Amino acid sequence: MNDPGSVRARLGTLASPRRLAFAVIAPPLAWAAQGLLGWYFAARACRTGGPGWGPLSSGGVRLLLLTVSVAAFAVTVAALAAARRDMRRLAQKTPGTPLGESAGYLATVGVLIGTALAIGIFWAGLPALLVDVCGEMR
Amino acid sequence: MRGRAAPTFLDELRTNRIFYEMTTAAVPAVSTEPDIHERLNSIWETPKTLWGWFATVDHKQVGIRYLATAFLFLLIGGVEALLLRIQLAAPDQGVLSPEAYNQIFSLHGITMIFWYAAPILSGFGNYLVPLMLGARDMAFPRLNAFSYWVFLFSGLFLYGSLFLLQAPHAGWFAYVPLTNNRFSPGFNMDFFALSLILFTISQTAGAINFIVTILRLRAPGMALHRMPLFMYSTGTTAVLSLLSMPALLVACIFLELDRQWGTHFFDVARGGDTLLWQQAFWFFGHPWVYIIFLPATGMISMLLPVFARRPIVGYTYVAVATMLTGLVGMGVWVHHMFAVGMGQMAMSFFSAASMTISVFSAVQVFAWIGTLWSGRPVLKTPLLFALGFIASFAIGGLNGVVTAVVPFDWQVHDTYFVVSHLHYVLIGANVFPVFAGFYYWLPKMTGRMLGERLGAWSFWLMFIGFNVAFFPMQMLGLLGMRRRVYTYEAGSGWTGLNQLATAGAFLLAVGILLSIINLFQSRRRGEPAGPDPWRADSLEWSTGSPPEHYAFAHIPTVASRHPLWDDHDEEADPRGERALDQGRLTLATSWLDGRPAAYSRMPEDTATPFVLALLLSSFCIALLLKSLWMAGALLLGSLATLAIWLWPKMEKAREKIGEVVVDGLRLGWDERRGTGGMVLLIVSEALLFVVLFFAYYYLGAGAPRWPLDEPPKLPLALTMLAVLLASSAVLHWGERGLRHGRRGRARGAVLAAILLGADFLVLQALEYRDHLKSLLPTSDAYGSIFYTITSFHAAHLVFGVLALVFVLLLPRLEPLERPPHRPLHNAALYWHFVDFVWIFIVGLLYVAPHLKGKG
Repeated sequence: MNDPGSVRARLGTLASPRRLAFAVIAPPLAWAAQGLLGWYFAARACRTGGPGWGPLSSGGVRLLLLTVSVAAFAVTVAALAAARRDMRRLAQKTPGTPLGESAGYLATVGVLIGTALAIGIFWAGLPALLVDVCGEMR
Repeated sequence: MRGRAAPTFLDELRTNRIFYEMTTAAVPAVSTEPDIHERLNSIWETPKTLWGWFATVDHKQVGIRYLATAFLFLLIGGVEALLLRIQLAAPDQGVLSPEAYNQIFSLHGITMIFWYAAPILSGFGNYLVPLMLGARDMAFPRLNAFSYWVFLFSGLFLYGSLFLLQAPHAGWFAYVPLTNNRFSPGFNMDFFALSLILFTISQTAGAINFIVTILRLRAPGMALHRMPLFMYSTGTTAVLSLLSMPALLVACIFLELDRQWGTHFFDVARGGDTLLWQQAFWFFGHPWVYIIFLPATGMISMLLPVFARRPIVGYTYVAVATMLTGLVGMGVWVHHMFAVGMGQMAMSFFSAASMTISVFSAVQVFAWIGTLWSGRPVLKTPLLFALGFIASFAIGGLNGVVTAVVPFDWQVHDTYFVVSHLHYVLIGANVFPVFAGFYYWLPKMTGRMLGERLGAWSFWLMFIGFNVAFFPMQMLGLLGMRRRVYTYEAGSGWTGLNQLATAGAFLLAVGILLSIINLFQSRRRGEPAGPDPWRADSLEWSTGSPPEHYAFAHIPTVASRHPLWDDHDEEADPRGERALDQGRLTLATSWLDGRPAAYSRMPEDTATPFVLALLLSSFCIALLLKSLWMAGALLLGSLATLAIWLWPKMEKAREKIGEVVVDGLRLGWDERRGTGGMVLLIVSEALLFVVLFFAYYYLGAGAPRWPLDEPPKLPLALTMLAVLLASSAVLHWGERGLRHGRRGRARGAVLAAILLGADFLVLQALEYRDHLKSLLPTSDAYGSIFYTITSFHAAHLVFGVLALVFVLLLPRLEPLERPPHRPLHNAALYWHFVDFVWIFIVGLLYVAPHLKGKG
């Protein structure tokens, strides 16, 4: 327990670096993927003026966009859950240790980023439900 | 290799104590303090000679130069603004001709956006980041000096256009086709594009430097969760710069190629697309808005708690909000293009992101308000400016939210409403924080306090003047006044509001003038500041005012977020180990925990950054004049200067110093700093290619068929791919051999990679010879983008070959002799990257058209 190596090992079981990295990095990547793919699919489907893309009809494209949004949302929620679990474990088990402080801080950052971007992804996913793929407002 | 002696750094973990609660006071000091100061001074001081002036790499000098130059640009841009306001003070005025008005408003925007707003924050960053981190300089001091000189020369280059009366005249975002040769035949927009190309080099160099400094040179104990918030804002800004600058660079290169060399990127008749400019420019342009205000928010987060007499509320929330602002800021560029006619689904994401971003700004605003609310505020001038910032930023932010709503955006697009919004954001969120920063940190830089009374007068005049100038513009916009009109008719109903705006602009100018007078008065008879006049909490206030050349006699250690407010003695170093007085040394630490990891040797003063910047600027002049021989000669001169710069002169110092022991840890030479810089350079270069690929896709998406001409032949491209993959494999094999001491194998591998690279270039020349018979870069947009992408790649490969030749030529093959062979490793990293890019090029330019054809 007192050996520095064992402190690191114990910390690893409470919050593995990979899980922490996933918690912090996955939500931004999911958000960016949703935006870029959504933009690409919508632009591609409407390029020829008609609301379709190859075998996909307008409804198909909307379903594709929704799928992308749901996948991005799921990844973000998973990252958020991982961050929250790490944060709670670290707060209970390693109060005051420097490495625990750093890892706990990263877990908190993961929770905040995950929460913000889960809302962002939900928000940006709504238009696929509500508006026409190639609709113009004027 | 790091060995450990008792007591080790990690031993501290056993007792669960905070880092660096030192218990070694009984150990006798190895040398007396006056000795250390004298020795450090002799090591770090730049000679006060003409050579020293050009050769200094001291971050404090570079920072002050940035501040002075950028402030000068603020004054120049301000005078231009006053000229515009005089012209608009009454209807049908003739103070400025239409062309003069175009040039003045363009120069005003370009100067303020590019040459004032970001560089002034770079100035604060350069001066403060190392001091706040407890380091003695930036990670790459010569690169730092280089970025300043390039910034200066790019500004001089831009203003050189005034001497020819051919200043840029198409606004700061220079939309095509207004800027192509047909509508802008003079040198005006060439000055714009070439000066911005130089500017992007400066910004990218600065961004790499800031990121590595923040991640690598923090004081021991300064873990991520103890970093000053200014580091989060500056770091986020640096990442944004790194990711967005390539888009501006590509846009400007396309524009210059179209204008000077006859390509067709923006020529609709030949398959080009005018909206490509807008996509590329705004992909850079909107992150730029955050680049020019995030560091300012960091400054407010540093100074506001000092005057509230309490730590900031919600440190973690503010740090995360800062990073998220940067992230989401990368995904909102299309909101500048709501009026170009995209589908609503395509716009909806950007609308949502634009509204989301205001949440993060609001988090920061509420944290500042909460800090003031729960503190005991002392109303000094810096806090006045900070309060002015919060008020203005809130107004600017709110009218930004409404412009994120697409239908409203359409109504106010290109009107004075937008002018008002952007000035509320840019003056509110940049100029006010910058003045707060001046009043707060100038005593540190000059050693003298600024006058409080004059400061308060300056603030109130600026604040009132600013609102009187820019609030009426919202109404003018709603009344239908377009931006950039050089005059208006008497019956339009806009006269009164315009007169009010002009009066406000002059009031704002008087307020700024008072602060300048205050500065000069302070220099002559200001009260001595002392090390910490504000009783602040961050490390820069533990140095003298102005700081000594070496900043810290002992590299400080940190035990909390507020080093000067806790009872830990940052510079306690009874064994004198952290004096690091064997040369220009500072400490490198781990990125997460701030554990001592190595020592960093800082370079001596040198004029090579100045010479290289001068040569590159002259290269742009040669391009302007279309003098290819002159451009070629200057490019060769630049490469030679770069070789002199990179030539390893520090090997002897490294042998002499060997290992140093700090707090029980044996530390070696910091090898990772250079690799960190190389990785970031590769990231920036990768983004450059991503933008080029995007341009290829974008042009193809708008074309009835793509490629417009015969697709290039696949077999040769695949052969070239095989050659490059072989070169990467052989280089990797050589590097691995070196780890086992096989130097001959390594030398052979480097030579083989060079030959394979040359082989690739010969094959590419053959392909061009064949391809040029049917397709020229000037044939159509496809030819333009095809040759641009492939020749960009070839240029990178030439640079990679030169880097490998350089490694082979290093004295006594030094990097091949000594582990871990960083110069070779760094050159190999670059080489692999260039090879990797070719895989994408083959896929996109060579394979995809054939697949499409079959389909």
